[in-house]
Amino acid sequence: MTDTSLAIRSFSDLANPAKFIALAGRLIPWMAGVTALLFAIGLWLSFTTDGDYQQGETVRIMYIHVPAAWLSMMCYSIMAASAVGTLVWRHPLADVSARVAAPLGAAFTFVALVTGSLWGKPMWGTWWVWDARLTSVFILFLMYLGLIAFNRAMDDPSRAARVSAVMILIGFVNIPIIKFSVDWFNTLHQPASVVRMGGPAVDSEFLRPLLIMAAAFTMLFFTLHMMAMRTEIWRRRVAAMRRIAARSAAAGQEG
Amino acid sequence: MQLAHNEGYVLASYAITLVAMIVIIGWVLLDSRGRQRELKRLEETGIRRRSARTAAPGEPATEKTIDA
Repeated sequence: MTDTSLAIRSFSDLANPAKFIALAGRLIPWMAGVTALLFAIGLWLSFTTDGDYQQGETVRIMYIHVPAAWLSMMCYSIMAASAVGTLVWRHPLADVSARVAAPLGAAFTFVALVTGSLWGKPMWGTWWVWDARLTSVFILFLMYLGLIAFNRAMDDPSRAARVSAVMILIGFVNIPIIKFSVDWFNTLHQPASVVRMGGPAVDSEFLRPLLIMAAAFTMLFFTLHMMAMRTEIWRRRVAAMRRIAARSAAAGQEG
Repeated sequence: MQLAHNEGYVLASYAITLVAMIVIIGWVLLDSRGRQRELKRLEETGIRRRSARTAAPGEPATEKTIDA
C-alpha cells in the first residue's frame, strides 16, 4: 500500500471508499483530541462563569441544551444534503453519511429534549408543554427513530438508500418550522438569542462558554460521524465478502 | 433552599447528557471494533472482495462502489 495511491487530491476523490477510510484513519485521532480539549475548556467555563441574576445556577443548563438543540438540526440538515447526494449524484458515500447520522441526531435531540425539560421545570414551572417549538423538536426525534427503524428493517442498503433519501427530504420541512416556530407561534420557549438579526442578545459572560461548548459538541458530532461512516463501509465490505464466500461454497457443491 | 433545589436540575442535566454521550460514543467504538474483527477474520480465511482481487499486488483496492 503506497501513500500516493490513497492521497486525496480533489473533493471527488472522497467518493472512493478506500481513500475515505485512509483519510478517516489520519483525521479521527486529531478530531478526537480537539473535541476533548474543547470539552475541557467548555466545561471549565460552564462551571466557573457567573450565574444569571434571574435564572441563577440553571443558566448552566443552557451550555448543553442549546448546543444539543443546534446539533439536532444540523445533523438533520447534513442528512438532507446527503439525501440530495444520493438521489442526484448517486455519490457512494452520501447514503452512508445519511444512514449513520440518524442515531447521532437522535442522541443529540434526546439530550436537547431532556435538558430542555429540566430547564423548563424551574423556569416555567412545568416539565413539558405541547407548544410549537417543543412539539416540532419532539417530531424531529420521532423522525430520527423512524429512519433508524426503516434502515434496520431493509436488508438491501442500496434499495433502502433511495427510499430513505426521499423520506429525509420530505421531513426536512420540519427544520425551518423548528427554527422559526418561536417567531410564528405563541410559545413558552424564548425566541432566538444568539443567531439573530442585530447580533447575540446574550452577555459575553454566558456567550463564551456557550460557543465553546457548541464547538465541542460540533467536533464530537463530526468525529463520531466520520468513525461511524468508516464502520458502515466496513460493514458493507463484510456483507459483500460473505456473499462471495456463500457463492463460492455453492459453486463448490455444484462442481 | 431554592438555590440548592435548582442545582439539582443542573446536575441532572449534565449527568443525563454525560450518560447519553457515553452510550453513543461506546456504541460507535464497539461497532467499529466489531466490524474490524469480522473483516480480519474473513480476510484470514482467504476471502477477497472483487475489487481487492483485481488490484495489483501491493496496491490498495480502489473500488468505486462500497459493497463490491
